[in-house]
Amino acid sequence: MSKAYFKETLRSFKHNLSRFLSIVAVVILGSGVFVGYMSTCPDMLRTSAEYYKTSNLYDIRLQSFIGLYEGDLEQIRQMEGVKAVVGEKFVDGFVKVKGNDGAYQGLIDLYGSQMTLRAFGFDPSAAMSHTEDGGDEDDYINRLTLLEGEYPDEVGECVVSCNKIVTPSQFKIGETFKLEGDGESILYSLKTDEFKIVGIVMTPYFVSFDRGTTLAGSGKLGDYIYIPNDSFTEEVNYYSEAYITLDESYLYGPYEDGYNDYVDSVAKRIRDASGAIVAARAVALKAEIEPRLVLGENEFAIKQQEAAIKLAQAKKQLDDVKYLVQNGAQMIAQAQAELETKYARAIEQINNGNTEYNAGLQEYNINAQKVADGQIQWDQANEEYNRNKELYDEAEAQLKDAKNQITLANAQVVATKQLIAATQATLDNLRNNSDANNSLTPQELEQMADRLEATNPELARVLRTAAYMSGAGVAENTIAEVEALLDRRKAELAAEEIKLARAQTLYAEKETELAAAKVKLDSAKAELNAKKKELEDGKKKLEEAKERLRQGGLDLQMGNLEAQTKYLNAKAEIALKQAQLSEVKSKLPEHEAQYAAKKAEIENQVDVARTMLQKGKAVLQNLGTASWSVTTRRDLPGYSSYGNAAYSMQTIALVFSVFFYIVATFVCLTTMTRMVQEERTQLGVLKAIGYTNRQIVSKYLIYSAVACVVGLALGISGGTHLFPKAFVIGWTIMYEQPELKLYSYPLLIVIGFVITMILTMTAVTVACSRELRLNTAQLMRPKPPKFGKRVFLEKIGFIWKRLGFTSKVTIRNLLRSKKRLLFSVLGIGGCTALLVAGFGFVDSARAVILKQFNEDGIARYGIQIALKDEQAGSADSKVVADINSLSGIHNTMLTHLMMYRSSVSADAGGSYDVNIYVPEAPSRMDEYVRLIDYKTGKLLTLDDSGAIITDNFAKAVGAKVGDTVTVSCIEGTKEISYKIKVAGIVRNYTFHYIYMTPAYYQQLTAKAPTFNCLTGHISNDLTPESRLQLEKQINELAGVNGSIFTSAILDSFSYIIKSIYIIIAVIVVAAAMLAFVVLYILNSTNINEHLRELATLKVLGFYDGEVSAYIYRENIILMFFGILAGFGMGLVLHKLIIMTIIIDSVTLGQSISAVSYGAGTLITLLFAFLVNLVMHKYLKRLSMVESLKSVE
Amino acid sequence: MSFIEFDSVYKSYKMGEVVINALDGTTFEIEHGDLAVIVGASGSGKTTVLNILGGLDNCDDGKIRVAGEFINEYNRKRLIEYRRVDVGYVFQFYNLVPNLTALENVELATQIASKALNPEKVLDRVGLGERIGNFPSQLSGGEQQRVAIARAFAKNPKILLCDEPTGALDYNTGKQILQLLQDTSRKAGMTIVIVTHNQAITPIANRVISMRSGKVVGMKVNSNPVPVSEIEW
Repeated sequence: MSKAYFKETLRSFKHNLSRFLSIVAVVILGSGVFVGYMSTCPDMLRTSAEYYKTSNLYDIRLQSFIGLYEGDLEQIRQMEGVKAVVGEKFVDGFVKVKGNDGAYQGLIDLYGSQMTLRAFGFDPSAAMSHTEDGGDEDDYINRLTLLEGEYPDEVGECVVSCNKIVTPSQFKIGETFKLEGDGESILYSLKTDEFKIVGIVMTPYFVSFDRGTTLAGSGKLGDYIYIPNDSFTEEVNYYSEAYITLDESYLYGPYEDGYNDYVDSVAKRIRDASGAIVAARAVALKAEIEPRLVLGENEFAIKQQEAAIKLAQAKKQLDDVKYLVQNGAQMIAQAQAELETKYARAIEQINNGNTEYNAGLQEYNINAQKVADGQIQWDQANEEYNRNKELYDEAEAQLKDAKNQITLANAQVVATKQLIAATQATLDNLRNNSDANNSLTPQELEQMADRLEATNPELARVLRTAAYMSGAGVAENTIAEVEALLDRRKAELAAEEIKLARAQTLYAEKETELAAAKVKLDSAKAELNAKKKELEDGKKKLEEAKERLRQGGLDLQMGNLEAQTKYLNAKAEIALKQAQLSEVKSKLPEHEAQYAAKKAEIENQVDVARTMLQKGKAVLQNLGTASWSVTTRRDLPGYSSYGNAAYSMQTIALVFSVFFYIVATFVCLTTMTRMVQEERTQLGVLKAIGYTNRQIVSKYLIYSAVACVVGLALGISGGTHLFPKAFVIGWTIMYEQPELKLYSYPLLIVIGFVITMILTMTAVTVACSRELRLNTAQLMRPKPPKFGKRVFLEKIGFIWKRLGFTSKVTIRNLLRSKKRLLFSVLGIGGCTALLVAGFGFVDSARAVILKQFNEDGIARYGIQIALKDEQAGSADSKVVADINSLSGIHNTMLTHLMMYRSSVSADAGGSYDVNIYVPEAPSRMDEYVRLIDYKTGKLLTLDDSGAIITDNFAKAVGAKVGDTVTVSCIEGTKEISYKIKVAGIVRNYTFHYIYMTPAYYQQLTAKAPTFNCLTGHISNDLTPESRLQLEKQINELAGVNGSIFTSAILDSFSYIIKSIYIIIAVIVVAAAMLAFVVLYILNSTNINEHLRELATLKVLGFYDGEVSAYIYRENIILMFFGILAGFGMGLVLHKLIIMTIIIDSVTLGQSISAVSYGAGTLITLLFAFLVNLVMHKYLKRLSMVESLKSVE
Repeated sequence: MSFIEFDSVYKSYKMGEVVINALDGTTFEIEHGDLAVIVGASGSGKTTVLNILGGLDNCDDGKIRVAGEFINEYNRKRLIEYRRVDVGYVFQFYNLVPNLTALENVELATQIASKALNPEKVLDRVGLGERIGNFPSQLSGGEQQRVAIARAFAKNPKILLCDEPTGALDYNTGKQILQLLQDTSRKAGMTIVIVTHNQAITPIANRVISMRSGKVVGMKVNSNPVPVSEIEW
């Protein structure tokens, strides 16, 4: 390649970036899916191989009905090829956990029967040295992985598993639980029956939630625990099984045929040698056991008697206490009653007293009121009296006044009289003197005046005047004056005498007044005194009454106080007595517990003795037919199915890889074809210049090669890391394996690389060759427009005429290139198919839950109850009646449920657990379990002609209607097989069942079926609390071993189903991405082909929407047919996946729901919509000028 | 006011780092009913003028007036309307939809134009009355161009724009086409603008605009346009 052309090649990367990225994208997806999906299976297998190696999982397992002894094992150790042989002790029993009220109760497992537990013995120190120091002891086989906590130190401690599906939720570090033997005493085998959890482990022995079978209970083992070897009693001097590891097993991958062949060959040798070993052992045992048995029988009889006596004693003690408790209560009750009556009476009295007191108080108050009134009256009277006194005083005063006046008047009269007298005298004097002409001299007059000055100043004055005026005629004047004066004085006297008279009258009046006033005063006083007396009387009386009342009140208080005190005292006494009684009562449970413990102890001892006898007898019985069972890993539950799971991943990987690769190739082809077509003129020019075809093509090869390499790098690295881990998340839910280790598989990478490159390069070459076949000149001319052709639809005139002409264009466009049409439809169809298949798988998974555990589904019952002993399993037994009487339960039916193994299996080495289910009333079967023919969907009924088996079982063992299937179980120490005729096959999604009538069962086994289980319906309106309550009530009934609600089973299965969802999600996401890329490419191809037309439309003035619609119409039709095709392809793909993925215990539904079709369609349409959106924007921006550029 | 006015129009393209000034201050007028020819060498900008006039492209600066409205102010939507109703475009390489018959190709345009003419009649007018049911691949170059013209004309636009309409045709067919255009301009009174680098065509027009390097270097009005039959090249 020339330098210039090389430059052009480099530049074309930038120039055609989106194309480059599309190729990278599909290569990433294709190679990522291929390498990633394909890596999953080998990763899973290698991780498990690694795990089996480091945990030293056994290669061969030995079991014997008569037990294995060290001596037997030693003989095997000597055999060639054997690396180590180790014996294992274990014991099985029912597990009992603590309920909410502290009492131990049984558990029900997934299968509806009472949960059994296997306690394996192990050496904690060996385990510790492996876990902590990485010790690699050959003798430590099936090594534990410590997940949490620590290994047990002492007897009574244990470690448990933590499987999300089967391990009880009560198994947490620190919790305790009990083990109970099935029909035998577990204390015969174990030193204690109570265990405390100190750690959580994982064992390679159990890789799935399937724990295998047991002789206890219904035959299905619930879970396991590990206890120190010391926990076993001396009676367990044999091994229940032994594990053998071989020298060369790790040369092979555990799931390969090479390994199986190697192990089988050694197993055969062991089997051949076992006959002799067992025979020898049988002889030894017989000699040992027979004599012991005789002794044992005697001892047992004695022990039983002793036990009975001890028990009776203990019971009497307890009864005494009980009696006391009962009576005591009575007496106290009596005393209480008496006290109450007395007290009531006292209170009554007090109340009476109270009433009286209150009456008295009332009276007192009335009287007090009266007294107050009296006071008022007295006050009034007092006032009256005072008023009257005032009046009297006033009258008195007035009288006094009057008297004074009289006195005064009298005095005046007297004075005046005196004056008159004096005056008269004077007058007389004067007169006398006048006559005598002896008139008085002025000096005499003055003397007279002086003498009268004091008493009669007026006269004095007159005299003085006269004196003064002495002269003639004075005397007469003077006499006249003095006469006048005398007259005056006489008048005065008269007036004064009148005054006096008046004063005297007044005085008389006043006297009368006074007298009257006095009378009034006296009466007022009398009144006052009377009132005073009254008041004082009243007050006195009140005081007395008060005193009486006070006294009465005091008495009352005293009385009350006395009564209360007496009452309280008495009450305290009773309380004391009560407390004493309560103490005794509270001690009663202690006593009862003591009794119960004693009873248990005694009974245990008897049980142990009985068990020893039983076991001894059993072994003795088996001695004749004893043999070893030599099995490989393939008999370990879950082991093979894990391998199958890994291989199923392989199949899925192949299918999807092919799919993705096809799409990737198609995309490459389309893209490169377009690229070449666009550059055709350049191609022509290069040819004209003289470049060879090969040189020209090399540019495109380089371009796509680079894209491939980039895509491969990203896809492979991404895929190998992402996909295996993503898938395994799903499987991890069901399998207990260590974390997945990722390995790289160079071969796979190389193959992926090679395939991708070949496909891409081929696509490029094909694309180029088409163009390069044309000669130079043709290349350089613009591509002639495609011929317009009439399509067949045009011949159908009446349809064609009706179509709008844009539809005509669309149809012609579509049918113009059949190849393009096909590719588009298939491309879209492919994506829809992937989505539909993916969602359809979700449906199939959900069907397990919806169609199985549903009132309208197959398992129509709401609850399953395990009954304690088989006698309880008759319709008229007490426990059945009790259960039926509970309010949450209506409708029950007895069933017989027992686990068997089918010995005809589809793949060698595997066997299937199947439940034989016998309803007591076959006519009512449909109420509980619906039997639907798996092909026709019609209802089937059970009859005595044969059994009805479930479809998953039929497929597994390859049985058809009319065939016979053989199942076997261990009864006692023998393996018994039954041949069962298949009368019908029904649809079923969980586990395997064989349904038959009691009569057929009888026919088959020569025994009547024992009904150990009760199924029933529960009320629809139970709240979660009442549901718990119901569960509690049922579990507490004496004849019940445990119960499980269908809803609980549903929850466990939901768990399994979740794992499936995850696996699907991984696939769907990849499919969705692919869908998007494909749609994008299809669309852009479409547009580019019509570029010129679209530009022309724009020029013509078509709106943006109309321009887009030109393309849309084609897309819609392509979508429609594509999606339809997708439905068809999806259906096929779905069936393929269903057939490939096989999950333990679960059968996936066959049908895809409408919702899934809808979802697939919707997502495809959504992507189409998104792509159209992008395209619309692109078209908007399309430059008309550029697109329509003439070739100048 | 002229029917078509270009006023100091500038348009440049950026191709990577290179800036090409396609129109460098182009100014001219065209009257209603003119058959105008824009002539110039390659790269003179004449195709750019036609593109802008037809609403296929925007200018950077300047004013363009058509029938009294400034189309440089039109937004995207309005431009689509403009192209839809007011403009008919004829390309050098016809650009017919290969999957549609001649009639359908014309219907493609008439079905969206509001005041369109009857497609069949228009095809008849251009002389293809018998060939309306043929696909473009069944028509000769000249016939295809006539269909293109019919398509443009049937829209009944205000202006008819032709970009080197005879560029892909031989001498005689080319003349036929030009005759058709001249007749249409005269008889229907349609304003037609033809862009060409062929100087010999210019006499048929009543207005000749010469362009060089993005500028108008000459505008001549022919009062007596020559009939097509008389020109030779």
